[in-house]
Amino acid sequence: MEVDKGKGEAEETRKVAEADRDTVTLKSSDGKLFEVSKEAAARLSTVLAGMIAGGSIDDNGTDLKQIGSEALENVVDYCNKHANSIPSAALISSSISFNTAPFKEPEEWERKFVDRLSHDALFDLVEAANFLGMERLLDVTCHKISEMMKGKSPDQIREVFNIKNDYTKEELEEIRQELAWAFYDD
Amino acid sequence: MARGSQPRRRPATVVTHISSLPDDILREIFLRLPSLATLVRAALTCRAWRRAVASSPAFRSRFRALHRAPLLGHGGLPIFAAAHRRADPDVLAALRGGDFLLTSLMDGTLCIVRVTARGIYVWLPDDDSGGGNKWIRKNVLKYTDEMAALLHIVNFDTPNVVAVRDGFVYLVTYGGFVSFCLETWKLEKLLFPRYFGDYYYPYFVAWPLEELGLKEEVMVV
Repeated sequence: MEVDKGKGEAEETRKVAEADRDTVTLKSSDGKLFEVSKEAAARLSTVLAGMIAGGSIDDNGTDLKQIGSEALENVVDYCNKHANSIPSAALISSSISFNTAPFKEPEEWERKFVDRLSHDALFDLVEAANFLGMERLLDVTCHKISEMMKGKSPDQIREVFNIKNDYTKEELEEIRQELAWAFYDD
Repeated sequence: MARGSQPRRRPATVVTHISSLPDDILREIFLRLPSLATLVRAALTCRAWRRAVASSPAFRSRFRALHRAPLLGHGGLPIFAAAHRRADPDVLAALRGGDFLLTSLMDGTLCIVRVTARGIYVWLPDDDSGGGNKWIRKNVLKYTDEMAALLHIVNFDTPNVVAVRDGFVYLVTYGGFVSFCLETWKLEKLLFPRYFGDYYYPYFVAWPLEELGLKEEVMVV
């Protein structure tokens, strides 16, 4: 662990030193420019990696018309934080699994990263992650949203996400009886 | 790039809402739900979500693979009748109490399992034996210290096997109720030790989800 930490810091120092050359500029749908580490962008986003490799990166700002400035800021923020984070022991796979989910649990900083977002910002970010082919960020954001549904009744889920119930009363009652088991506690 | 000079801003009145997410992303979210029960409840919030679940066979098989058979009853009180399609229960009844258990993997391959205090042994049919019913020992899992601790193996007591089905062995130990996957070689703790293990038996429910368009895909094999 000590060794890893030292390595992480050295990596960070190197990045800061090379920041001037090693970044790409991304432009949001509303014309704002953001700089992100080229290395992190290529590592975390398959789409950006492809653009970098294919030389379709524009020094004046690569247009990402599908992504608004708030979401792009979060994407860039995530890339930079990720570049500086040290993988925790939790990510090293163990021979024993206590749950069936093959998805890796978010790390503490990733949890905090999505926890501070409003619903709207979270939904925008999940779309941006999907668009940019950022598997890990997609994982973290989807995990966060699924947690908001966990252990809740349909009514409570509707309330959390402000969803309009478009089932009829009779329909719902019928389904509810058929699937009664799904309404026990998890 | 020229377009940059005319930024296309979202109208301020448009609020991003979960219903604006495409079905693909919605399904990615649903995949991470902890159980089939949560998925059902999510699908019952609105028609669009139900459609997102019902319209994708790929999603259903992934969800199934990630969640396996839902374990629903415990505490000695069967909440649901076990839904069996094969003769497994009879075979199991004949074999229960014996040292060896006959079961099958998810893909239907028969296998023999033996659980001991030292490890779990698995035999598979020997395809090279020219149709003869020979079994060869394929895998031996010697417990690691971590596994032994999870299974609460003390003084080489053999864990109590309560059920074997669909490639999973269900064990009751002092540590609680544990399942062991014969394919992934993973132990999973299902219930914590606040109850006495003797009262446990896993009940399975067929994927009942006619309502979600899943009628053709019964979970339990």
